[in-house]
Amino acid sequence: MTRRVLLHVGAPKTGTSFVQDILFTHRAELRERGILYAAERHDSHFLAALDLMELPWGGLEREAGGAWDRLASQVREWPGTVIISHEILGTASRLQVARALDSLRGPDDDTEIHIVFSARDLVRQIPAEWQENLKHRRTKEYAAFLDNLRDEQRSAQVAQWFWGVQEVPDVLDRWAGSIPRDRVHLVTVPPPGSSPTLLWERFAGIFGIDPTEFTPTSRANASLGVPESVLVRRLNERLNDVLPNHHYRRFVRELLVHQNLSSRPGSPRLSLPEDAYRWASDLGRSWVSELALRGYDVVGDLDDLVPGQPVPYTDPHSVEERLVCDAAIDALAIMTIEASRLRDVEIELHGVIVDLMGQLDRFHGTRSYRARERLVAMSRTNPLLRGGLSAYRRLRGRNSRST
Amino acid sequence: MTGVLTYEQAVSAWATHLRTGGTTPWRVWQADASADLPVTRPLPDALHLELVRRINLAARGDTGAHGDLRGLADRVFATAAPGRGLLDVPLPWPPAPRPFGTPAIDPEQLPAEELVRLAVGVLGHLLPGVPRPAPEQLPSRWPLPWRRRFRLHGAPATAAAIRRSLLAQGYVESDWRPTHVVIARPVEVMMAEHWSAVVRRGGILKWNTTWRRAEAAGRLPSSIDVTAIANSLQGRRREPVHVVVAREAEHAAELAAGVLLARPAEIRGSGDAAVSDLLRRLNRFSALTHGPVRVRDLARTLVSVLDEEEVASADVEATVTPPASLPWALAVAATSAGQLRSAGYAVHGDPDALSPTEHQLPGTVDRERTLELAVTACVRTWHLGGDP
Amino acid sequence: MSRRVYLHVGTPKSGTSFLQDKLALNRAVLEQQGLDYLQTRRGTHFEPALDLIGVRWAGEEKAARGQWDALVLEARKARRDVLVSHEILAAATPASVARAMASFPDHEVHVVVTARDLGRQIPAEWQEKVKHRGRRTFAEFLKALHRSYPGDEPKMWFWKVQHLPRILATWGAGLPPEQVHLVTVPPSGAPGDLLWERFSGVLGLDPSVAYAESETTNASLGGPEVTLLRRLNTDLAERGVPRETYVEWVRETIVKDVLAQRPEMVPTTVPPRRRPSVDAIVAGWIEEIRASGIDVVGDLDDLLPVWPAKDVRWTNPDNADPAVVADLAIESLVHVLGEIGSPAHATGPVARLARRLRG
Repeated sequence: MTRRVLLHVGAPKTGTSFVQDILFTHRAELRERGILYAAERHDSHFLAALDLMELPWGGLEREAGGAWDRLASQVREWPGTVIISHEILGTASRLQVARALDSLRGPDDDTEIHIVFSARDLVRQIPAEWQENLKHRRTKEYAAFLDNLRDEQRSAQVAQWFWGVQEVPDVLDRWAGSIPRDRVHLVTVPPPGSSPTLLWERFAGIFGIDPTEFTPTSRANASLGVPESVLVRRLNERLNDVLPNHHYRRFVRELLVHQNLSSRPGSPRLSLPEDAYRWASDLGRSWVSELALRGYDVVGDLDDLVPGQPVPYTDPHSVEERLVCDAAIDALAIMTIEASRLRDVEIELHGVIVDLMGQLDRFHGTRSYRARERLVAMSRTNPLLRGGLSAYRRLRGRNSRST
Repeated sequence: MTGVLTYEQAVSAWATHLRTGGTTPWRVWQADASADLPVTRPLPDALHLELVRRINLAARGDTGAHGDLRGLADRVFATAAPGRGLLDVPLPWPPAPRPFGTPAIDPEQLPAEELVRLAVGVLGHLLPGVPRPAPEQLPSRWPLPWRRRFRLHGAPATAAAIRRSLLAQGYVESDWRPTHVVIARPVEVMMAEHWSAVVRRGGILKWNTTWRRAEAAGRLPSSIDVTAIANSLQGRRREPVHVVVAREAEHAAELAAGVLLARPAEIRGSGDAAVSDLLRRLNRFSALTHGPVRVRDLARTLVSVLDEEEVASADVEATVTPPASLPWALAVAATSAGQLRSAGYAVHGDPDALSPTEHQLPGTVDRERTLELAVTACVRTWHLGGDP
Repeated sequence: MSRRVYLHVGTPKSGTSFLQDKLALNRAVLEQQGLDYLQTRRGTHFEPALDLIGVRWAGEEKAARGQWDALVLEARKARRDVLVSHEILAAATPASVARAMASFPDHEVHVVVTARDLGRQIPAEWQEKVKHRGRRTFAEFLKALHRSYPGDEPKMWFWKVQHLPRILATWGAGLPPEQVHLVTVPPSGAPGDLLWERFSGVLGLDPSVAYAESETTNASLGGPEVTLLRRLNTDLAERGVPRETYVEWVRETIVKDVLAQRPEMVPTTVPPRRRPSVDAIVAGWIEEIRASGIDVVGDLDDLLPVWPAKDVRWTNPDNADPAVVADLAIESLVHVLGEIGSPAHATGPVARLARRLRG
């Protein structure tokens, strides 16, 4: 049986979380079919990617040390097919790609490495990426974001990041430079209005699994509307430097954005202003002609990447305040309820803790322990006693060595 | 064999030049196209090549011996720049630029920020190989009744220098009925000293973020909130509390010495903000690459490497308050000065010395200076036996 | 001379909380002057008053059962004059008043009503409603006020507690007019302690004694603030939020810490086209009160509404700028988020245990 490694390296906003969710949920069944999705937690591959690229990520990187090598060693030991999937991998530099590929090849170098990249048309990707930025506490205005992307020097960090993960021909140059063309799989995201299962069917085909056997347990994150985006941006301005990252992730990103603000009906969607639409549309077309020449295995249709007709544009900078206000009041109501729920949980915990404290007291209640504790406490204020205590410790240390 | 030089050949040839200690910029570099040039794989990008050139320039002034830096060049070429930034930057090359990917940049025009990022990645590889510096040995003595006891608070670096001098004179720092001396200096100096202390413990915040956080919290960080410190000490076990306010470190040392009847400490420059800036960048990555527990350790190693070089020279401009935080800094200084004037404890010096310098400067750390330090640190670390 | 009982029966929003706070702070001083401001289990006389008037009040009426009799028992035991004070007593029906009078057969009963001009009472009551989960706009509130007036048997709470002649007649039934005292609230801009001077004068307190001052202020809100609150009430009602949550997080946190702290709030006033009808009502009241011969403390002219100058444009509190309301909502959101993650939580039991386990 050939060892096959399928490396899914992006792009963000192409249904990646949805694919990862299926793979993670069904990892046990997949294993039985010879397919390894090596993940102890849902963000295992994300941490591995942070480690590979040495990316700070709001403190999460502290949990990522060694994550790539751990993943790679599991991959090397697996005899069958392995899937690795994370959308930020697209921005790896050539050195990082080389390190990644070397670490995944088995001892006998009989490993077939496949690069999988899913892509969606640029006109839809740009607004989505700005909203993704907002969810990571950024405060940049949409117009400035668009200017940054159009700056040919790419001097802004948002531009460097955006093109790093989204510029399909370049990502594939970096990742697939040494990979035979037929092992490079370009999955196209179907245009709006297609069958909801079509994208998953395309992925499943590459993974070699039956798309009807494994189905998603959760819906993909819906995108934010324009007023909701404006709300999050304003909220970020007020919360940065005040709210710690873990609280931001839990309350703002998860509770407010993902669970509530994304699904508000009737809000205008974010698109591109006319000139930016023309620019992005031309660029998208030039990518499609370049990709057509590359001879990759296209799963879907390259035409899916040709931007569709422009849709009416609502400028976040001049969105109706009435709509922002509605969203803000909704958010406030949700947060009020959450705050009081947390207070209830704390009250419940209180009982548990009083009990635990009692147990600790009983445990600490033995006479010698208490005497020692009192001594230590007194020594904190009395230096002569502190000297005595350390002399006692030295003495006891010597005795225990001599016996 | 002569022929048309390809981009890859030209870059490989420049890489070889740099590996052997060359310092010719890409702009003026002419490869000898007559040779059948081999191609280096993977091909280094502008960032890697330029950093090696800067290292060579720094080393030339330093030792004159380049032979042993070949390994350092290879180390740089093998190090992926950590974090976010420009990706695989190509060098300018006559034929039409590639339609995709990062635009080509003349290596001499690369942002210092980017070169620092790669240098920090290199340091992350080298520092663990440097022998650990011995911890500073401070004379510790018993608080015997005839010894004078003190406890210093406030501006961390100024206090540390004064502390060293007092201990050397036989004074004892103790919690047992000491004379408390709170060292207060202009708020931007105290902030710089606080920032420096925090990044030496593994902190990762930027200079202006440190200010923004303090402003959002509505108070100075607790270690330099001199009025809060003095207020909390006052009345505690009837120990005498003195606040010393001085614009210059030397003056603070004199005033503190006056309070404690000691000889004033000799104080060197007030530290280099670029060191703190380099440290916070290193800390940001070492938590990931070496684990959170080693962060402080590596920061300490880097500080010792730089100290040996005596790069913390006195002619470096002091860091000023970021313009956005200046109004707040002025307000905090004014409030604190008012509190000191009406306080019940002894105040030495002019409380107005707390006020920050008003300026028209950018109020950021000079990245060129950080880069200079980072390059020096790479060379020094390599000589100290880095690359484990 | 028989002992007296002073029944301070309202009206709401006429400075009653301020007076009650000050009375509570000065209980010992009052006792020295021969007056007991009776203690209750919850501190205020809300429960006894609610028990007496017998209306429904978000379920609290059940807990209040028997509290009027308990208060009366205390009053009878007292050896000094006693004071009962709660503004919802204004809503008492003749039957409740008869019961109250019967509770004090051996006392000389004095009824005290504090009153503020109707022009200020109308927006104030509306705001109070919104602070108690109300969802009506100012326009709707005004319309309802207009529709339900006049009436001998007011249906609407506002008129039950603000219709001065009716309240005075109900509470004064059977009392000599000199035992019924109407204390007028001075117009805005008058010295801060004038109301206390008038009120304490009725109680026969010594004006030369120093009294502790109450710190509480019941800040009024501006149009955008009330709009936010009103819309939040609607949203929370749709989500079925329990009353405790509302009280703790909306009234005690968002209103107190954020909305009431806003600078430069424009006070809400009755719209110009409704002002003549308010003026007419007040004129009728003043005439009636004057004819009744009761003891007026202050000046009946204090009850005449003072409208803003003609050239001051009226701001409709229902039409608040959505940008301002959005900003308020964001500010409140930031505050609630800050409360969740505040160091105040670090003193809670969880933090204590964590500290202890860390050693």
